Amino acid sequence: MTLKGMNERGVSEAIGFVLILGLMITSIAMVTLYGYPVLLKEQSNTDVRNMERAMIVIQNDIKNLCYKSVPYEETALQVSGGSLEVVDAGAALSSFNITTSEGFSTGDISLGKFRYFSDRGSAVIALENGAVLTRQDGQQGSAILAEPRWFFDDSTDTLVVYTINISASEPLSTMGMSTVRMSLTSPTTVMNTSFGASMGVNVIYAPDTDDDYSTGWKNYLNGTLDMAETAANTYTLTGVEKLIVKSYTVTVHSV
Amino acid sequence: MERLNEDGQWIVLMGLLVAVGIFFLALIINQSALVGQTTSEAVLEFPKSDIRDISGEMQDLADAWEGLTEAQKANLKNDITTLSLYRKNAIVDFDVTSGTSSDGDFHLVGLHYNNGVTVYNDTTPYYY
Repeated sequence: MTLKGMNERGVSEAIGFVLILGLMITSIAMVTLYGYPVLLKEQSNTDVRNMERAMIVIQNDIKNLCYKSVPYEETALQVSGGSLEVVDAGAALSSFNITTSEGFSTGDISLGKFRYFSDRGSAVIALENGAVLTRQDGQQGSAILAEPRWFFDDSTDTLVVYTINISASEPLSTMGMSTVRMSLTSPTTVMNTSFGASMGVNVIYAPDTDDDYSTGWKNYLNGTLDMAETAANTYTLTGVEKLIVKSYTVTVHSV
Repeated sequence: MERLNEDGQWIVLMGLLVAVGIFFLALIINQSALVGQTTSEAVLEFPKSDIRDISGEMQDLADAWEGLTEAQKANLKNDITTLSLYRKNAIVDFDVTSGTSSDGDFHLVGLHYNNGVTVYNDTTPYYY
């Protein structure tokens, strides 16, 4: 291309080539430096969000086992960007204890859990006692993603608490495409305690210090169930005339 | 110096534009993995048949109510609430009162059902 009236004697073919090449290399370098990590981060976020949904699917399976008299559940799910493990109730360090002001106590109930660790990020998602909870590894605090089905019936002043114990005969963990097979193990124990007058019921959560979901449980018990935090990890509901604690055991056969 | 033909320079520029385009496309494809996934939570959770079963029992109970002793009434109530709790995970409560209207005598059955998701209350008169 020759522009009219311009003298092109100073135009160098070599310098032009070097300029274009430099521009291309700089562009490629910028994409590699900034763009690629963004892509990886997005991928990791997508994996974690997919896993949140997968955990809610497992939670629904457990709901079917416990509340709808379904004896066996099998779900295929994709575990990507991390690993899913099953912590047996015997190996779990967190527990619940339900007591009343009259001296009734269930004792510490260890629960076990499903737990997902992200490889690239720090997200941890757990399914503990029928609730899906999430936290960031190495940081304090946690959030509840899907709530368990505890409820207080105003009409009869009855508090219904479910404890769901996850049991596995051996340590299980998985990555990639997996099939979660679970069944309900008998017997389901029901503690049906009637008081003559209205009582205070305490729910005491003892967290595992390395895998602490106390903030998530606090938000649930304070918020949804309107319990008051009377001491650290101790939540009290007053005005209860009848307390029902149903304890289920879900056996995980494989993941 | 003999000059090269420079007419093809736009190809280099287009290459850069396409590369940037592909990058943004990759971001969008990453996002789209989330779309279309739904949880298996059943939307229709209303325990229709459970409530219907209990309502049916209530009708039989209202018919027989006059002939029952207080102890029998208490036992029946206890049985129904316990069965509902153990089998259906539901809190069931009911009360039977008698009344009279121009259409005749009736038993008014107030039923309360709560399984944590569905709370159902109804009051039905059964004429006898």
